[in-house]
Parts: sequence; structure tokens; C-alpha cells
Amino acid sequence: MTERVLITGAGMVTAAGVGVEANLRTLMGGEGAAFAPARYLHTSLTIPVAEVPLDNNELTARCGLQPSEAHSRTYLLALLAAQEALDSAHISAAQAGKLGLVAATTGAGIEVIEACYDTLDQHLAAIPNFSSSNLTDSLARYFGITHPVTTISTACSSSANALQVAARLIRHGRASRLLVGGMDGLSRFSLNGFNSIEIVSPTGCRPFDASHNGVTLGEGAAFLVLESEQAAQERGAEVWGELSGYANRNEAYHPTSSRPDGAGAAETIRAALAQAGMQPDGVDCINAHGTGTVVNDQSEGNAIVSTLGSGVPVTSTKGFTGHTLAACGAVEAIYSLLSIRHGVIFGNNRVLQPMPEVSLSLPLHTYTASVSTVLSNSFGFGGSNTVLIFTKA
Amino acid sequence: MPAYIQSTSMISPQDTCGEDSLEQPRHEVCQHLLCVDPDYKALIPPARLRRMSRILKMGLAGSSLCIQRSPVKPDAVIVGTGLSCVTDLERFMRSCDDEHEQMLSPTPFINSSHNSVAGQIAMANQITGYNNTHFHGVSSLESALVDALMLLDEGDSRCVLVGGVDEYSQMKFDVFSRVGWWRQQPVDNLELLHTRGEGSIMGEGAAFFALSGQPSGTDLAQLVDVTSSLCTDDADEALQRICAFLERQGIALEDVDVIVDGRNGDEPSDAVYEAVEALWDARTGERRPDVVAYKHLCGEYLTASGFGLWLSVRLLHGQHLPACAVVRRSGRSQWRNVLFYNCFRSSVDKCCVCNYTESMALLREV
Repeated sequence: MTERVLITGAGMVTAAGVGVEANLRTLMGGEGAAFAPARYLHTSLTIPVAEVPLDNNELTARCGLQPSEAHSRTYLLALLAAQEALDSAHISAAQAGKLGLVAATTGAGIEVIEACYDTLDQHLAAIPNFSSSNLTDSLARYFGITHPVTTISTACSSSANALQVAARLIRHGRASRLLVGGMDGLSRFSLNGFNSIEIVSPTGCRPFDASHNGVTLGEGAAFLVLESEQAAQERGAEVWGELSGYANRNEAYHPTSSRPDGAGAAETIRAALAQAGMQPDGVDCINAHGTGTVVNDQSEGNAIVSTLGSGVPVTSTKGFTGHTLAACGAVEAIYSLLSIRHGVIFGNNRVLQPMPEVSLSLPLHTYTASVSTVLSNSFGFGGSNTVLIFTKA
Repeated sequence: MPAYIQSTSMISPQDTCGEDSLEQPRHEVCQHLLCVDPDYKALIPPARLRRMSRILKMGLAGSSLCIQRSPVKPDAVIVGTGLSCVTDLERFMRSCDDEHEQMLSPTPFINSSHNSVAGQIAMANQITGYNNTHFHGVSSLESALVDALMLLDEGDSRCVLVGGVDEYSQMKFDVFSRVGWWRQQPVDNLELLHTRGEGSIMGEGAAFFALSGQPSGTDLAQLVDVTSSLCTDDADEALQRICAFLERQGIALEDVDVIVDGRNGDEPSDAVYEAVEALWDARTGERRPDVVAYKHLCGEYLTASGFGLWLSVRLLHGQHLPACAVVRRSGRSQWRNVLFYNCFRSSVDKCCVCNYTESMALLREV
């Protein structure tokens, strides 16, 4: 169980760009997605969101599919990201049959169901979107993937947990190569849900800023190819980095809130460091969960200071993408790997005045630095805390 | 490394929270079966109970019973659920329409989070270790069990609580009626496997298992391994897969004493089980296994395999086959190895709702 788990490919679609390169350009440039009322989602709410700048027809065309109400926006985003991940790993269609798939979603295909719920008899093709596994199974069918295949759903930590499960499947010899990621399109359900809890920012999220007042919901999909070291070596794969540590813990505190003192998140960070066999001073920078709610930012800030100190650079990239829910763990895993590959620490593009409650090192602009290790936090409803550690391979 | 099953609980359409419920199985002429409710007030604080949907009650009560019975307190929770809190999801979706997206109550949204059962169990029992939810249709519980086996093997947990939970809802019944999953006419559930027809009857349930990596001395059975993959309709290939799975555990077809299979009354699908078992018999001759079925007792739902696994544990621990579950007896007087074998498919599915999955688990007498 000491098998190294390597990342050999990645693909993503977010409001910050379609494709990894486009996302990198956005993060390097420092300008995030425009937060504005939804253009493609049917809703009366005018709060700002971070939409992928393509409508469903454009997404369908990019995927090379025929239009069908069987295809949710979430599926189209996922297909684009997964295809890019396999292409970047140089895995052919013939080789895909030997892959496994661990995917994550919170909404599955709800955006299709909510649009035709009262007239399902006329929309039989939409019905598979009720099935939790339909999205993942559809991806598996598309790429010819057979086993193992599963879907994780732990709210906003979903794809971080998918990455962790995938790494463990490899270390236990239950798989040698896996496509892993998360996907969530914007839905009226999720937008109204977060709005009903009163944690949506009316002005656009500003994680860790003194004026932080809530999340901005985003959408997207991100997939990575994980391989055992042996599998990667056998085919001479280019290695992006290593998933060298992980931990999953539960706060057992509140259905939607974190402990204000950050004790639950801190315990998870310590467990991930221990699992990686690493000391706190080995972490070069942190990709924070950083949603922009007062509760998250203070709780997470406290957790970081108590475990890693206040000197390590902390970035929330949700200022670029909005909160992509189940996808965010995988989106931010890719950003962490980009930090390592390109030797950069991304700036907090939405911070004007750092929040005064916790003293964190918050870079305002992207800068070059030697980065060997990035720690990435993902926290979700239900007390779900997950921490991943990526290192230079 | 096998897991040692410390305790189980089963909330189901049978009175499985009682002492010896399957000797007089409940039956009714129906298209769906609902669970026999335990005394929820005795298991969940009333203030919390009021805000809970059916699946949350079943999940909290089932987990509480399983934890009470386990000699080792679980320090991790893994839940498998096919459609999770669909009633709350529907309620919130409706309220968006009815209230024009204004002034919505957040409770159904919060409860509809797919990991809310696992999160609520952690909160109610202050379990702060690993917590995960597998949300993968018909193999949700099996994926959760694989996760648990890995966790125990890693030594990251002394005892993992694993659950498979799904609730009945009218919406689910109607939606999957449209794709042909259910019988068109009501049928006596105890006659389901003997009446010709397409589709099954819908059920619901909450099965929980406390699994430990080390024996406690009061273990109910061993869970040796679990696997799932895409279904095959080819009986030869299916038997080959079974042989390969058993071989990895170091045993042969002849060593299996009982098959607990997932036939559900959908005649074309059940024919595949019968074809596989006929080939199995041809290979093993007089050493053919007993065959047990369970979905006529609990109905079909995405984590119905929980009932089958609970029945497998009960069978091994009590060394007794309840008559209502027996498909055939082969004259064995002792049962050591149980192969749980489930193939979820619907012969009349018009929409290809999900990839049809087969799963296998090997359970062994302690």
C-alpha cells in the first residue's frame, strides 16, 4: 500500500476557461470570471453567478453530440473535461477500456429534471437524469470504461473524496489507472438552495476579504488521470505530479456550518500531513476551500494558522471560478498541479483588504516561486472535511 | 483482509427489527412495499425527528440499532444510497415553483444533500473519523463496502459503520414506472417469483453493518470480499466471473454452500440467474449449493442488496434458512460460505436509466 499515485493527465471546464490552458491563462492574468446574473439558467433570481460562457447548444457541438434532452449541462461539461484529460494523458479510445472511473456530483442531472418535471410523459429521454449513477455511467459508456466505476457525493468535498477513493483503489491494487473528477452544472435547485440558507453573496464572492459576504455559485467539471507508478512507467507517461497525502474526517458539529475554531478542519490537515509523512513546514502553499462566507473563511483561517502557521501563502481560486460544488476539489487539484508544474503561486484576485479576524498570508497577485508541495482543502455540508496533498513527482 | 461483522440492523418491509420475523413473513397484494417502522421516538430525539424525512429516520434509527448492538463503537461511517433524500429534493424543487423562488424554507434543501444520512449519523453519534457517501445507483452499497474493506485494511479505522439506504417515494415509483421497472398489476409479494410477468415490485429499506478489521469473539460472520462490474447476459461469462472471484478468495464453486441471489420477479432477468445456476449445477453435480432469494420480501430498490447481505449474515450466524426465502434446498446441513450474487437489470427498461450492474460478495462463517 505504498504504491505512489501519479497524475498523468487533466482536463477542465469552468467559468475561468474551457480547457486547462485557458484556466491557467485566466489565473496568471489575475482576472476571474465575470460574476453576473445567469444567462443560460432559467431563474428569476438576479444574484451573480459564474457560468461557463457557452450555452448548451455550443457545449453539445463541442462534444460532437446530437442535441438531446438526455444530455444534462452537467454531462456536457463533464464530457469535455474528461475527453481533455484522456487526450492530455495520451490514452487512446482502445486503452480507455482498461480504465476505472470515480466521479463526483451533487446535482446529477437535476437541471434537466427541474425543467420538465410536470411533463415527464412527454420527455422520456430526460428520465435517466433521475438516476444517481446515470451521469457516471454515461461517461463510462462513452469512453468504454467498465470497472471499477463509482460516484461519490459528499456535497462540496465530493471530488476531493473521489480523488482520495481513487488513490486508495490504486494503492490496494483494485485499479491501476483511473479517470477521476467532479461535475456540476448550475441548477435552479442549487442556486435557490444556497440562497435559502442566506449564504449567497449579493455582490460576488470575495474569499478572505474584509467585505466577504457569501459564495458565488459557479459550475464546471474537472477530471484527472491517476495511475500507479508502475502503470505510468510502463507506458512512459508524462507525470504532472503525485497525490501523496489525503485525509477525510467529519466535524460531527452542524449540518451546514463549520466549527468556528476550525478544529475539525485542523484535525483533517494534520491527518493528511501524517498520511503523507510530511511536516507542516514542507507545505509551500495552500489552495484553500475559501468560499467567501464569513463562517468558512474564519473557520478555515483558524485551522490553517493552528496547523501550518500564518506565513504559508493561502489562495482561494473561487474568486476566479465561483464555487463549482462537487467539481471544486478536482478543479483545485488541477490548479495545485499547475502551481507545481509552472512554479507559480496564484493570487487572491478578489481580495482588496484582507479579513482582519485571522492573520493569513494572502498573495494578491500571481507570482513565480519554487513550489514542490501544495495542500488543498475541500469542505462540505454534513461536516465533511477532506484534505489532499500534491507534490512534485 | 476480511472484515468481521460485529452487528447488523435491518429496517425493511418485513418486521426485521423484531426477533424472528421471517418465520411469518408479511405479505400483501401490491406494486410496492413500505418498511415496518421501528419506534423512531425511542431511537431519535423528538426535536430532531420532526424535521426528518423518511430516509433520514430510517438511516438514523437503523444506524443507532446497529451501533447499540456492536461490541466495538464505529469510528467511521460510509453510506451507499441509490437516490438518497429524493423526497426532500422533490419538496424543495416544488417549492421553487410554488413560491416563485422567494422565501423558501431551507430545511428540505439541507436534508436533500446526498450525504445527509452519513452526516447526521456522524453528528448523532459523534463519529469524527472517515465519512463518505457512495451515490452510484445499484452498486452504491457494494461500493461503500469496498471502501470500508480498504479503510480497515489501511488501519485507519477500528470499526466502520456501513449502510445501504433508500426510501420509497411516489415520485420514484411514478418515474420508474414510466421506464417499466414495476409490475403493471398488483401482485402478492410472496408469489412474485412464481408469477409470470415483467418488472418487479418497488421496496425500500435501511441495512447497516458494523465491520471490524479484527475479530471480537462475538463476530456474526466474515465479509471476505465484494466486487461489482457491468452485467452480462451471457450465463457462461457470468459463471466465469464468479469462478474468478471465488478463485481470488482461494475457493471453488463446490465450496459455496448457498447462493443468495437477487432475482426480483422480472421474468427475463430471472432467467439469467437460472441459466447461471444451471451451469453451476452441471459443474458441481451433487455438491450443488442451496439457493435463497430475498427481493420478494423487501421489494426492489437500488440498495436492496442490503437486505440480501443482512439475510446472508443471519443465515451464517443462525445456521438456518428461513423457508420464505428458499428457492431450493440441496440437503446441506451446515453453511460455511455464502455467495451473494446480484444482477440488477430490467428487461423492459425503455430508457437505459443506468448501466446494469452485477455484484458479488463472499461471506463466511466465523
